[in-house]
Amino acid sequence: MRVYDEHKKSVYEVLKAGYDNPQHNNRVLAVKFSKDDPNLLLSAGWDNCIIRWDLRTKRSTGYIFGPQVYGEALDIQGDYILAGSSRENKQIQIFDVRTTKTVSSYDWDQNPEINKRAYVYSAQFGKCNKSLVGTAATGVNQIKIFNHQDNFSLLQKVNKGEKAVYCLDFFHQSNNYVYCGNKGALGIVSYEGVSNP
Amino acid sequence: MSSLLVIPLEASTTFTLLQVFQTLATQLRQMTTIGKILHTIEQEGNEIYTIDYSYDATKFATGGMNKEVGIKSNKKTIHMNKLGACV
Repeated sequence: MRVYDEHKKSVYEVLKAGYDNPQHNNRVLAVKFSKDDPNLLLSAGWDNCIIRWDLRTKRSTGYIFGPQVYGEALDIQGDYILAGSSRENKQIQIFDVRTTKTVSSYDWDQNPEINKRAYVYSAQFGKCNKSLVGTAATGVNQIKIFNHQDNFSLLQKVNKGEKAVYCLDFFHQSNNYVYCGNKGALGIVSYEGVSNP
Repeated sequence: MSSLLVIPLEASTTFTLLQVFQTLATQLRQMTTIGKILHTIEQEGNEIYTIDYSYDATKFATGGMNKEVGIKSNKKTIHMNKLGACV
């Protein structure tokens, strides 16, 4: 971990592994601050490990081994950590930030039209509606919006055909979201609480 | 690789920064409303893959190829944003 100084434009602090907790040993693909705790930071990457950092002690305070977060597929809301994995099962998982135990998991079904599985590269909690989870997957090239408080009930599904989707984020003041992907794909989607996806 | 960030301050003063990452880990921070680059940070030999702002917008964290997560304080930007002008 590194802490930079704005005026010197240089690193002024490097955060380290805490007692009995690791630091990353491979590339870091996602970082996320907590809205509720300004001293809490999460990170994840190619070492298949989500690490919880405390900015007061400058040390890691916990970790979750398993999620293969290979994109901006990490988020935190209240006591829950959302992780999207680039793998063939349990692509979406929610963990308890305090205990680091798994709360719930979701297996993304295969897309029969193109016979490919889902590799999640983006996962975010809704910013207005806290029950929403927005996810984007390559392979199947789909966007899915779930209600994570209702056992991952599917609220909206968008098929992007041949275009992979790599990034998704909700608006701050509505449930609409923006996505981007390959072949110059960039779009804004209106979420209207679709009940028949 | 590029990323769009909306930095939450007060509801009436939110603005969007365009963060551009290049192979030499050059970060170009721009206020999209005026297109001016605020400043550039370079980490030679590194590639940056992700960024997130803290909710009070006083700092942001980055992660990349060098296995480290960088945190950069941002008080100057806050000051400029509250004034509604870019120095």
